Amino acid sequence: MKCPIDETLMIDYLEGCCEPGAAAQVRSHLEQCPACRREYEELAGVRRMMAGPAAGPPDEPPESFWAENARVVAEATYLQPARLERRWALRLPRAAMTGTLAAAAVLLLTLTWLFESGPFSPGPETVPAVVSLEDTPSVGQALQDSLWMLWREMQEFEMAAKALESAYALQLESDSGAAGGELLYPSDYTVYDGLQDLNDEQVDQVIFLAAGY
Amino acid sequence: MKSQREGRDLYQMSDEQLILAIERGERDKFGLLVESYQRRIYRFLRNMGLDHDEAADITQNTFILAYKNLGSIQRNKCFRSWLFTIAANQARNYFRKRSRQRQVPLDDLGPLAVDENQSLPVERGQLRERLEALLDRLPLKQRQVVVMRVFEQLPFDEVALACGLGLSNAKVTYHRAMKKLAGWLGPSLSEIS
Ligand SMILES: [Zn+2]
Repeated sequence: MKCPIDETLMIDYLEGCCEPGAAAQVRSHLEQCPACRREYEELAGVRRMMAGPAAGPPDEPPESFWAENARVVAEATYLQPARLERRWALRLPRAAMTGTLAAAAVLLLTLTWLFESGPFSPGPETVPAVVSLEDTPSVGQALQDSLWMLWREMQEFEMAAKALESAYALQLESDSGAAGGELLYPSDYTVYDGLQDLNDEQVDQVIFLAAGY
Repeated sequence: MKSQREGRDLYQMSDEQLILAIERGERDKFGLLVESYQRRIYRFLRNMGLDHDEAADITQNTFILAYKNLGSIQRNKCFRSWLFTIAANQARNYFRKRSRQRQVPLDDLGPLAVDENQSLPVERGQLRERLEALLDRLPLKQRQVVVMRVFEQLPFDEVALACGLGLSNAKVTYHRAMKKLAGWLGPSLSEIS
């Protein structure tokens, strides 16, 4: 006899999120089936153990920590001048607006791939000077350098636009945790860390280059 | 009088309403979202096995990233689970760097279960330590699902969303994790009796 309780139904029952009818069915099956009953008791035991005193949060930081955290976040976000956002709005469709800086950084990675191992792999004499992320102290600088190189040597804005578009899509996936999101991230690289290093002028250049296609 | 009412109105605004307000230009409303969720995000990260400094850094970064990407959150998507996604994705980078060697061998853990008939209650701290050692042995995704469901008490559809899994896949992942934990707990359960 095959048991009618699969993993998801067992979990629904364990977590108390079954439909009432289904719960009654599971209950009566558990009474008849020692194997399922054993499994349920096992799982319920673990659940109890974790819901007990051990489940309490690890040491909580002092109340001042939260105020400080909120302050730092505020200064890095909504207390920043809105200048850039307004300017982007003029140039970019709304959907692309908020992701542009991040997308610009991902664009670099995409282009690095395109040139180093992808369809645009060039002969030695035209190797673009895409700056390696490993070799530069600042990802922001690398990003800026690379975009300048792209500008000067490529004159390929259509391709850049496409790359930017797909990079943006991937960035979104990555932010939202969907499949494929890890594609463009080297292991310990944070796009945003790099962008923090840019000064205003550099940011202007990045926006100009990334959005000026 | 007015500020009191205003305060209550703010309190009653849903995450989605707050995000709409922020997009309309009331940017400081984002502070309310930070206030609502910073403790939970931090606690989630600690329960994922990060130390205070790591969890504090990622908590901060999570909100900064969320603000910068606010426009990319789809209307039907839950802000709360999206925050957990961002936090979890960043936490992953810390785990990659970390060696798995710090794992405590199972034999050294001693009995892990709470035995209701035991006259001497196991100290909370001790129990917690053991639970953490067990969670450390789970694959990252499984731990994430367990922590979100058990400690954060998120409904399964939000757990699934936050982990980038389908609903039934999230439940299967949870089931696997619980079976593993039960297996590790099993021998020590019988040792006690
Ligand atoms: Zn059965």
